[in-house]
Amino acid sequence: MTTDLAEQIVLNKKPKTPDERLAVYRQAYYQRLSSSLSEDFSLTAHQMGAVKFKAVIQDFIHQNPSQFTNLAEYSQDFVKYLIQQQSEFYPIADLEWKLIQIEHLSEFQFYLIVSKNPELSRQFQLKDQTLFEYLTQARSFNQIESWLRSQNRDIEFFLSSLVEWISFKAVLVLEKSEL
Amino acid sequence: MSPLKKDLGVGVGLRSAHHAEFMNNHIESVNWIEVTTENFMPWESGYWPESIQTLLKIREKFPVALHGVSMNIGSVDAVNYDYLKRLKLLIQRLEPMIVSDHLSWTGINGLNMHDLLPIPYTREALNHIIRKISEVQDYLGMNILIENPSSYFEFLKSEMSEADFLNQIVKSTGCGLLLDINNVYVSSVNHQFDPIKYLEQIQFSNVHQIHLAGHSNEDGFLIDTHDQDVSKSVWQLYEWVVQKNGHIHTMIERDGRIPDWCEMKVELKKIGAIHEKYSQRSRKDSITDTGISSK
Repeated sequence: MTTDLAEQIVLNKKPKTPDERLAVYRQAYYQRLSSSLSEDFSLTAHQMGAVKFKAVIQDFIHQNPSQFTNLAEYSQDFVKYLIQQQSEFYPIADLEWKLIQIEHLSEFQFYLIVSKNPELSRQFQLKDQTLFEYLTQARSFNQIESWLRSQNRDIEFFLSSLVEWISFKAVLVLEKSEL
Repeated sequence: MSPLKKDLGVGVGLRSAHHAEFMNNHIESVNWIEVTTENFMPWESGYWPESIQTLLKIREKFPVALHGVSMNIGSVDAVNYDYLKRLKLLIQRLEPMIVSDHLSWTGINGLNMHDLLPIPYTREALNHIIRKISEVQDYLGMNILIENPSSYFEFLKSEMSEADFLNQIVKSTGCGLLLDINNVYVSSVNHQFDPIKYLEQIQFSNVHQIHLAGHSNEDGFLIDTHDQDVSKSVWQLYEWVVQKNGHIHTMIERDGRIPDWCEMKVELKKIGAIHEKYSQRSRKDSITDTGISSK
């Protein structure tokens, strides 16, 4: 919005000009959406690098205004955007979105997702007993991420751990559903 | 919704940081809780969020108020029936004591800014919002509360004060008011008006809940961030309201830099202390007479 247009709409009162007052909302909008995306796709951001990630989400937010009543659902559009852009980072973003679904959705609902993704439901053998025990107790992706970083795990190990965790959750759900 | 028959006392905006505390411990510092509606509604894909299970367990111990941020009541868009359908499912599951949202708009053409945007206080906007609130209440089969917003600009074309606008909405729709005293203070500083004069214009018999919260100060301009303790000025305004009108259930909202529960309790105790100080003016009895009626 141009300054002239702002002055036609907004009452001009100190301590801010009409344009500065509108800017409070403009900045808050971008800040709110980018914070949510940064929180949900921390691993994708790490892989892309901070500068590129910032540019990518800026373009995404510009091209894809939210149509959701719950901001938590907006992240799924970011995965679709990366597919459209043929981004090499789509797989890791897709993985992170699946993790979010695991965190947000009940096990029954997650089973519905898993049932459509047979590769997720494969049973696995975890050789790292310490990691296995931690994963069985962890409540969130952030907890796991912090723990892995504190253990100085490398990024490749981190990625494979995530896949294992998804599979582990999937197995739990599948086993429960068979009872 | 059943009419509110008594002052339920002190409440809190329950956030996930305190879920474990409420699940595992006996909480004496609050009598009721409020949660953000959208965090517990079914998603647009139809999935219920896992968090509803936690809330249903806490609901066994505390009455719950639902406070929404996306009803978009001030938008020129038509009422969003997909949203209302999901809200109604949550209401049926949770049986909340109060359902509320804001005097604001959040988007147009189906888009959502995820922010509470201000409204021009014109006759045209008033009639439009009255129609929308009536439509919402008819669909939900209950009356809702509407909260006064904080804002960072006012419209040149506004024809009446915010308090007048709210009073007329209540008169025409039968909805109640959720009075956010921090919002009154934030707007009063940003738009340079007297908050006491604003509060004097509000018909307190229509107020069925009070919010307190903290704000950030950016070079004399206030932002409604909910990430600070309630400011001294807001406590003073709250005390003025209680002294003049008696007390009604009041809660604190905290959405950023959320302290641990022990620290939160200290601030919540201040509400009880003010209620105690002016206990002779409790609205306990009068609420029955002026309560929001069921549809």
